[in-house]
Amino acid sequence: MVTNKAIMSETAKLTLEDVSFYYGDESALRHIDLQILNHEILAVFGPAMSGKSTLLRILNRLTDLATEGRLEGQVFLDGKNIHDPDVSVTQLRTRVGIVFAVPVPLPLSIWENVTYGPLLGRRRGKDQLEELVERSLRSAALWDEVKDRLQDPATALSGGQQQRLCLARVLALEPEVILLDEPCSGLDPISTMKVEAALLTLKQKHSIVIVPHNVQQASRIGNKAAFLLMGELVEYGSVEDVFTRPRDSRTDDYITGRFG
Amino acid sequence: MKTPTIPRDVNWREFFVEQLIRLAGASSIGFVLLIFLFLIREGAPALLEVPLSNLVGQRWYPTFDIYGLAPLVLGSLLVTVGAIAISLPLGVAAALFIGEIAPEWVREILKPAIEIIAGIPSVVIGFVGIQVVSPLVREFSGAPTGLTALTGVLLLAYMALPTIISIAEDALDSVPESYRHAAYALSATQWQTIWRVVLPAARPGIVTAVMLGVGRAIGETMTVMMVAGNAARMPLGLDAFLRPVRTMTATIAAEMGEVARGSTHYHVLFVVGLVLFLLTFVINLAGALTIFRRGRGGGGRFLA
Amino acid sequence: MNSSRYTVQKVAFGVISAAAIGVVIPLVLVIAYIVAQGIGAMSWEFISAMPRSGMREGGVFPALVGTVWLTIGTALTSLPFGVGAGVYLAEYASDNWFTRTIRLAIINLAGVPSVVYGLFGLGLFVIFLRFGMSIVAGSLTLGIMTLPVIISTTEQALNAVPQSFRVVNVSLGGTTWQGVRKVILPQALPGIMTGVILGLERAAGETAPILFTVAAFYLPRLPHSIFNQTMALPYHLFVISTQVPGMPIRIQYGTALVLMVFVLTMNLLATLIRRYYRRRRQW
Repeated sequence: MVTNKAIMSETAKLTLEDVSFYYGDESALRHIDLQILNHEILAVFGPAMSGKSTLLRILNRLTDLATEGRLEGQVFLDGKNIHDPDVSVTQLRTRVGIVFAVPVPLPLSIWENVTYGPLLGRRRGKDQLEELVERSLRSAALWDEVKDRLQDPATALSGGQQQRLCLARVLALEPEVILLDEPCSGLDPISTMKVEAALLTLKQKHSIVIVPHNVQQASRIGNKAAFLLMGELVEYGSVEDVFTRPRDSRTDDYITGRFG
Repeated sequence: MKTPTIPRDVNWREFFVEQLIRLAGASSIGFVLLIFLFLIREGAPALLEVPLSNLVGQRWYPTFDIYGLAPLVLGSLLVTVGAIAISLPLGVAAALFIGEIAPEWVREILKPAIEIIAGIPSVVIGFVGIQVVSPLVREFSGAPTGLTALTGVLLLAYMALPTIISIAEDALDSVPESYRHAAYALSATQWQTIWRVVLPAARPGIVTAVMLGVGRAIGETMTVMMVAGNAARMPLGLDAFLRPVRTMTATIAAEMGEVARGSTHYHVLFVVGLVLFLLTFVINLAGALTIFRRGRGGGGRFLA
Repeated sequence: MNSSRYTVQKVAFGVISAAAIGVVIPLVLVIAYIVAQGIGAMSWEFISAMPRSGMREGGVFPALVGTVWLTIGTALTSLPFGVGAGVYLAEYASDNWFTRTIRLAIINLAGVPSVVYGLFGLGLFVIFLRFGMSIVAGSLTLGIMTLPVIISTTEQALNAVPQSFRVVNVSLGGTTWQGVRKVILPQALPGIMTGVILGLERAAGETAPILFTVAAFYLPRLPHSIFNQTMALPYHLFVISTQVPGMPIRIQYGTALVLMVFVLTMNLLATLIRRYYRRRRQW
C-alpha cells in the first residue's frame, strides 16, 4: 500500500478510500487509495488480471451486476459516497460513463445509438437532440464520417468507427467522468490516434480514467498514472514521476518489460 | 440471462411494470393449482359415493354403477408400452441418422419434416387410422375388426416419434466431440464409435426422451379413441393387442358427452382425470428433472 | 478382419438410414393421400358455404370460422401471461424457490393431457363461472393449454439475445425494463412470434379440450357472440368420420384436407418468419 495521503486533495472528483473487492472468496483489489481529479487523465496500467477492469467498474457501480461481488471501503463522487441509499444508481451511471474494450453497438441506427442514453431520462425536443448528437459525434471524432448516414445501422460501421460511436454514446449523456477500458485494443493505429486525440480534447471538460492498451499509450496521454499489480496499488503519481522515477522496483521492472 | 440484483431506483412506473411481469410469472403456478382444485371439486363426490373397492375393480360398467378403473389404466399402459417399444428404437435410430450420419442437405429436409409430423392434429391421425391403418391391420392379422390396440399402438408410436427424436438428438449432441475423437484415434470405425461410445454416453438423455414420450403417449386422446376400439375390458392375454381396448383418456372423451352433470358417473370421470393429472405430472417431472440435472437448459423442445 | 468391421458398419448404417427414411415416409403418404382423396371435394363452395343435409353436402365454412375464432381467442388468452412469464424468467427471476416453483408449474402444465384440460375448462369456465359452452370457455381453456409453449419459447428467444446489450443498457443508466422494452424484447420478437404461431397451430388442431367447452356439431347460424357455441374443424372431422352414417368419404377427406392446410399454413408462416429474421439479424 502506498501512502498517498500527501497528494490526496479535498477537491477530487472521485476518491477511493481503502477499497477492496472480492469475487466470492477471491480478492480482485486490495486496499486501494486513489483519486481522480478534475480535468485530468488517469492511466491505470498493469499486467493482465490485476484488477484494472474491476477498478473501473467500481466507479460507476457496474460491479453491482456481479452476483458474487463484494465491496469493502468507500467510493466518493464529489464528496458523496456512491453507495448511500439515497443515491440513484441509474443517475450515477449517467455522470460516470464507461466505454468497453470491445465495441458493442446496439442493434439500432447510429442516431438511435447516440440518443439512447439521453432518451432514457427526460424527453427532449428534436432540435435539442440533433444538436446533442452532432456535438457528441464531433467530440468523438466521428461526425465527418457518419453525418450523412445517421439512419444507417450502427453495425455497418468499421471496428474503429464503432468504438468511436460507443464513445459518442457515452458523451451524449454529458458525463462528468469518462471511464475507458482498453478502448483501442482492437483498433488500427489511425483509429487509435483519432481516439487518443479526442481524449486529449475531452480532458478539458471531463475527468478521464483509462486502462491503456500498453504503457506507451499511458505515457502518451496520461497526466497521472497508477500501477496495479495483482490487485495491489504499487505506484501512483504523475506520469512523469511514475515512468521516469518509479519508487518501487516492480514498477520499473514492468515498465522496462522485464515481466508482463 | 438477466440484469440481476441491481438496487433498483424507486420509480413507480418501472415498479408497476415489474409487478405485472412478476404476476404473469406466478400465473402458471396459479393455473396448475386451479386445475388441481377443479378436478378435485368435481371429482371428490365420487370418492364419497363410490366405495374404493369398486374403483379398483376390474370391470367398468357405468350403467350398472360399476366403476372399476383397472381396465382403463391397463388399457392406457398397454397402448403406451407398445407405442414406446416401437418409437424408441425408431426414434433413436432417426436421431442417430440426423446427428451422426446424414449429410447436411438430408438434415435440412428431415428436421422440418419431423416438425410437421409433430404438428399434425391428432384427429387427422385418427382419421387416417380409421381409413387406412385399421383395414390393413385387419387384413394382416385376421382379427375381426381393425379397431384394435395394435392400431392404436402404431399410430401412437408415430405421434410420440417427434418428441423422442428431438430429445434423443439433444442427448447425442451433448456428447462431447472429444469422446468421438478419442475413439477414432484408437482406429474405431464410425459405427463402433457410435455403438460403444456415443450411445452409452447419451443414455441418460435417451432415458429422458423415453419418459417424455411416455408422458405424451399416455395423454393422447383422440387417436386412441378413434382407432383403439373402445372396449373397456381388461387387456390380458397374448392377443391383447389384437383386441379392442380403452384408455383412460378415451373413456373421458367418449363418455363425458353422455353423462348427466352431477351424476356419479360424471364425478367418476373427473376422478379418472385426476389420476391422469397426477400420473403425467410424475412422469414429466421425472423426465424434466433429469434434463435439468444434466445442466442443459432443456429449452422448450420437450414441451413440443 | 478389417473388412468385417466395415461390413458391420455398412449394415448398421443401412438399417438406421432405412429407419430414418421410414419415419418420413408415412408423413409423405398421409399428406399425399389426404390431398388426393380430398381434393375432389375442394371448391370455393366447400370452404365458404354452410353445410346441408346433415353435413353430407355443402361446406365447412362455420367450422372453419369457428376454428379461426378459437385461435384468436387462444392468442388473446395465452399471449399476455405467456410472454409476461417468459420475460420474468429471462430478465428478472433469480434462482430461488419462487422461480423453481414456477418452472415446476410450467412442466406440469405442459404435461397435462388435452382431455384433462377439457375437464378443467368444463369445471371452471363452463360451470363455475357460468360461461356455458362458449367461445370464451373454449378459448380460455386452449389458452392455458398453450401457455407452456409460449413461455418457454419467449424465454429461449430472450436468452438468445446477447448479454452485452443488457450491460450496455445498464452502463448508460437504463433500468431493466427500459433495456427489455427498447432493445431486448424487439430483438427477441421474431423468435417469440415463431413460437407463438407454432403454439397456436397446435391449439387450432386440438379436439379434446373443446369437446366439453365449446364445440357443437351443428349450428344453424354462425356464432354472434363470444358466449355462443361454435363449430370447429377438428371436432367436425371427428364427428363426421365416426358418428355420421352415410357420410360421403369425399367430404371426410375434404374436411381433413382443409384442417391440414390450415395447420400447415401456420407452420409455413412460422418457418418463413424465422428464416427472414435470421438473415436480417444484427448479431
